[in-house]
Amino acid sequence: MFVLDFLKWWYLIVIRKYIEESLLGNLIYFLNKTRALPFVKNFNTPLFRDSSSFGRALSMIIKPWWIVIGSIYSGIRVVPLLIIASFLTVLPLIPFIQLLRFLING
Amino acid sequence: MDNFEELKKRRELFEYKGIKVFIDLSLLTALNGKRAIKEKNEKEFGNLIFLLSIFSILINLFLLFIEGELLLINILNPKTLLQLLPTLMLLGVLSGLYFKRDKNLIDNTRIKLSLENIRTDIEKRLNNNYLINDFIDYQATLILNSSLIDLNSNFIKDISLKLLSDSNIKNILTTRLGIAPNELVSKLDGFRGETAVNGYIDFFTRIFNESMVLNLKNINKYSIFFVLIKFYLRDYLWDYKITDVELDGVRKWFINENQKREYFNKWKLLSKLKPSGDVNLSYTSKGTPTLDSLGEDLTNNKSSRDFVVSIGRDDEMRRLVTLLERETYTAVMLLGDSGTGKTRFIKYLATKMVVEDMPQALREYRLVLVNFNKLFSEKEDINDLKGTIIKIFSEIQSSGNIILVLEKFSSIFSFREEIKSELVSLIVDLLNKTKIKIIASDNFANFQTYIKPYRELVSKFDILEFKEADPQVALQILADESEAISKKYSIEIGFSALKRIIDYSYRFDYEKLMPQKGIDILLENVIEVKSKKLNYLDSSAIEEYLKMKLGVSVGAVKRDESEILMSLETNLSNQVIGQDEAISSIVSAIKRNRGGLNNKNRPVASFLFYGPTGVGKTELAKSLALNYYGSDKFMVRINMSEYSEEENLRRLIGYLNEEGEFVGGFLSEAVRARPFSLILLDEIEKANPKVLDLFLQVLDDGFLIDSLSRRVDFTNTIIIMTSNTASKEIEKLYKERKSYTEIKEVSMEVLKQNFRLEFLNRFDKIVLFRHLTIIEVSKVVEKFLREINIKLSERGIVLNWDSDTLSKLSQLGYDLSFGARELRRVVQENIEDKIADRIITGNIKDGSNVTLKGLDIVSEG
Repeated sequence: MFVLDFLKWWYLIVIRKYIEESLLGNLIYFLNKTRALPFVKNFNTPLFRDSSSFGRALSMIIKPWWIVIGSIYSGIRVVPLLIIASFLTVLPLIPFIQLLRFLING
Repeated sequence: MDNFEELKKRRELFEYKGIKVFIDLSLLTALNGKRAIKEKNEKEFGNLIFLLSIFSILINLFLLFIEGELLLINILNPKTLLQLLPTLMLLGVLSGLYFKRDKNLIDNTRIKLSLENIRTDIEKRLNNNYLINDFIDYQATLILNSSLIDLNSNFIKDISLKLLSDSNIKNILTTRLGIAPNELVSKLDGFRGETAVNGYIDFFTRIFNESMVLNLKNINKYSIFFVLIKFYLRDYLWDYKITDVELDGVRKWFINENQKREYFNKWKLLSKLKPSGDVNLSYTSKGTPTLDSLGEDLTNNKSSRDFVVSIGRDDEMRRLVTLLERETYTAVMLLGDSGTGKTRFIKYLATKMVVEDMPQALREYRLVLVNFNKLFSEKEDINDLKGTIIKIFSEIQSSGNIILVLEKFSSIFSFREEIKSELVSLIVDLLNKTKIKIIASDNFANFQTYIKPYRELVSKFDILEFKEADPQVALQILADESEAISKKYSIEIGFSALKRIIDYSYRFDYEKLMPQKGIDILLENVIEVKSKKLNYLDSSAIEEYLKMKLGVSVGAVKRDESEILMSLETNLSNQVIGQDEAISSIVSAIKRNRGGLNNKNRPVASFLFYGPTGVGKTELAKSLALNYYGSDKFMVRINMSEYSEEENLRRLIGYLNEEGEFVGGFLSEAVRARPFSLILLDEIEKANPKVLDLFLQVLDDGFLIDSLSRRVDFTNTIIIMTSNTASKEIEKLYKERKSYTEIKEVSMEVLKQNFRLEFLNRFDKIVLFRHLTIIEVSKVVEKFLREINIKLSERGIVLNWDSDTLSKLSQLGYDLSFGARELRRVVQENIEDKIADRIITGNIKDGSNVTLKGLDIVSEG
């Protein structure tokens, strides 16, 4: 029971909280900061209110690229957090695996 | 006991808008006992393991560092255990963390539901069933469960005692209600309430409803607290003179505070995201370089000082947002005198925009404040100035995401005569052609003088009026401010002090308005207290300050009203002689009005005094002001014979003179200056009927609108009109020795002929003043002589008189048609002046006895 309780607590609370608050929070923050997310939201509105055909064409070229670059940048920015998240996910399993190995190997 | 077990099982509690709510007491109470012990053990065990693991890690590292080998392990089988060591350590740390985990967190996840679920269900008209246990949070469960184990116990008392030991609840009690928690606890000793068996259904229904009203996510200790003080402990709160309005104020404060906290957390994050340049995040707006150089972007402020929440202006905010949301142009004028919180309101709008608590259409907008005064003073050349202004407007137009804020809007019109009309037509043009959004603000007087003449412009604006905050809201704002102030000056501010400020600040310094006035007073007092090296501000300090400010001791300005009313009749009849019928009918009318059943939107009382002259009508009004308001300074006297022409009406409520300047009305300004006063209107029969019509509204609704369309509040005034109508008839009837009631009947008929019935019907009482008998006149004379005696007593002189003196003076001074008007003069000439002469010539020495025989003065010793 203790082990189950422990795992429930670890995955449902600790990891979930970490992912929601830290990982996703930061990702959304960077997506906003790099304007990738605002660009997605206003994809059809031309840049700088320039509704001329040139302006529209320009924004159609720029916007997708910008979104891609912004997303990549945001992704890179949260890589450390992602590593920590995966580490946290594996962490409680390490002792069990070790114990298992110890028992098997003698 | 079996019966209880049966009771404790799941059963329906109530139905809330189609949703059935169940309760399971056995689940709620099972939490206690065993679980508390388990938790305690867990925590201790967790601490131990955690410390041991950390300790062993440190020791091992230390040994590893020194010898390169691990001694502890060598005791057993060194090599195999060495392999296992990191694993064991990791296990230790993890389980230590688990045992030390935040209990609130894990128990909050046990609540699978939030009250939001019910709210959405109601919206979607889904009829689900819920178990109330699922909504109660951890702290509240701990408070509730032990009280409900024994269903025969006095559960409300148990719960109250537990709640009152909570520090947050204690804080609310002391700082918001001014109650010492320990005192309340000791009062609860004798509390007799229902047992849990009888009362728990009601109790849970109430806490559920309260949580829904408070807009909470779970049922928590605060919802229990508010239910307790509202329904169960209400009787104890009366001892502290806490009204329902005040209780409601505390609840509102709680809701505000919750929202504020939530807002601030969001604001901290989102304000970082706001772009610092002149275009929005999605680059869908154009840059506005000229505007940015001259204006201040309120939505781009990142210091936490710029986080502002304005309390008590929700209706105005809702209206403003709907106006801004419109597809067409928006021009809103915030009209209110300074101190009503217009600037704060605009900053609150900025905060709301940053937090994105706005309709989707407004999320990308920026709020830019432009100071035109600065622009006018900087640009000397007219063409240059005009060019800049046109540039600004065209930038706003093309960027499409600017809400322009113009504080002190009228300053545009008061500067630079040459471009005034051009500027107006520019703005009007812009409003006509584009979807520009402007928020302007100014005060009433400026609006009337400078802006109103431009009808075309005014017609474009929607007006949001900012009235002075009412006491309830002002108290909330002040309480909110006091937190910051007490932190800044490290001083404790008592709730009683805030209440005193609210009680009195509406009565002086009328140029400033609440809430700013209250905040200023609070600051002044805090600094004063700080300079005395004290660290607590209580009501006595405020009273001292008010005494200095008002010149009268605060007790005299407002004693307890019931106290005043109790002694009103005796006080009045001591001061005004011979009008007992009039006095008793006045006092009973005021008592009836103030007994709590009155309509709050009417004056305190309104009377029509009529009857012969010189019988004490004005005197009674004066002593009423003295007794009710504490000083006869609180009386406004208007002679209505000056308002016999219709055009004089404007002198009462103000008008614009030929130069376009506002001239304040005599009545409106007087009442605005002293809202707590008695208004005496003399000789109303001489006033123009149109002028009297003005008072129809005042008597009925308790306010009038002056010519600046400001509302002048009369609800704290006593209105007395006097009239000499029917005095001839009264005199005739008096000579025929008719009784008071007979005279009254006849004279009322005369009144009805002279005034419109609807006018007469609006008075609380129409009071007939009768002629004075010669005995009463001699009492008046005696009163005057006593007054002289008091003056003489400063020199140690004692004045004696006999009945002959009284009757002679009465005969000299009293006349049937003119009343006792001459009486004071007669006493002055015949007695006071003569005595003064003799004091000067030395015939009467200090400390001597002076005896009057008839009108002759005999001095002795």
